Amino acid sequence: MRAGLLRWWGRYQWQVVGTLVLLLAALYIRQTQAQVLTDVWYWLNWPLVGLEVVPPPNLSTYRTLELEQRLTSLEQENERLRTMLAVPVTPQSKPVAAQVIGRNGDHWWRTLVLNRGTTDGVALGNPVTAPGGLIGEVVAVSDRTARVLLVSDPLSKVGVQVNRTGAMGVVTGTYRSEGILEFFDSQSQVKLGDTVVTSGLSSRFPGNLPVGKISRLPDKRTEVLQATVQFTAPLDGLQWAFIHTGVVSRPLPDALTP
Amino acid sequence: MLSRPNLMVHLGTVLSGLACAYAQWLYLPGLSLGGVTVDWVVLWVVCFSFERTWWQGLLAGCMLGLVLDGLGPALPTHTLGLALVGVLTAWLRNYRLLQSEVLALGLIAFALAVLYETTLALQFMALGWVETDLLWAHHQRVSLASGLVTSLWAPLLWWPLRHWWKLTG
Repeated sequence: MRAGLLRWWGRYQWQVVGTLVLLLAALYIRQTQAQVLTDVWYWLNWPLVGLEVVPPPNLSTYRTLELEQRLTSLEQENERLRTMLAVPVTPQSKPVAAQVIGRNGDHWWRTLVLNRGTTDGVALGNPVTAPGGLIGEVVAVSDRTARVLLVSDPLSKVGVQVNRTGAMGVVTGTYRSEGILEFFDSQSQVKLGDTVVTSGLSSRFPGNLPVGKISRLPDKRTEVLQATVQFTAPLDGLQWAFIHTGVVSRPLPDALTP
Repeated sequence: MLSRPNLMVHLGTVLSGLACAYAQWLYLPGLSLGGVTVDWVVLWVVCFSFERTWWQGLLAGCMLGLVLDGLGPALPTHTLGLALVGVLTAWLRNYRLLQSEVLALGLIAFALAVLYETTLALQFMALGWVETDLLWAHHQRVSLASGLVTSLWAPLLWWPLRHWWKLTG
């Protein structure tokens, strides 16, 4: 018996030790949310992304430049009025530009991997935008990468309001470029094409970030409280995203805590 | 004691598995069907277990599953589905129902990719995070499309891996 065991060990010791080492490594990777592996992925991507902090391509045309200037002046005016009325001003810091280095881990999540991490000041829960509006929030960070849960994921829930009527609700993803908007109370004045922005009352996102447009109205007979929202940011072909690091992080929903 | 070329082969095996785990982050339009990409990890476990024993398949599935749980959200776990894929590949291959190796590989890859997506869908349903109608509509689309592209592209991974493993003799 003992001799048999010894013979077995003599024959298979390296296979057993190797397998154990690999299993431990896999467990370590799982427990640390693969921070080492995602950082390795960052370095594997550097020929595409570049080591330097590259500015995003300039998307401005003359029309957007004009609109940006008007927006800045309106924001300043808004801030002045808020201080006069003693309403707290939400601090706005310059967002961090990040390049997309990975998308959709498996078929069941709508996620992005960005090449900015804790070394760039990114924290859990930071909102992420792209030209067009809100695209999601940071749900995992390593030193050099951040994983973003997109608004099109069914687990993403964003508190929003319809700009024109002020109606409040929650937008949930459906794996597609459209989300379901559930209103808190019955809506009869909402029209097709109304813009939907993040609600200022939500503690998760800063207020007034554009989210999308109403693309289908509530069905009066069956789903009184539901409308469909087309996201304005192009979620599929994203190359660049902006992480709003200044926004205070907050606890994530239970489903996403490691 | 392991010889040097043997060690190289094992290292290559581990690296190819890791490469497959990374490959799911790449979106290659030519390799997808309706936006659904190849299940590289399922394909790797199928290739690995194709000419090995069921417990080798089980261990490989568990390890890659743990790595995937780290790279993405840990729940629902990928370990369960991939371990099943490993065990079933070795078991199905034992019967040698088909003479053609590539055909058998393609069929097994299709069936097990569907099974793997189903284990994930069942876990989502048990957790109750996603609305049931949306979940199963998505499952139908994803499992069929990924099963098809995975079986079509199976030889792409199978040939290099088999030649690599032949080095061990």
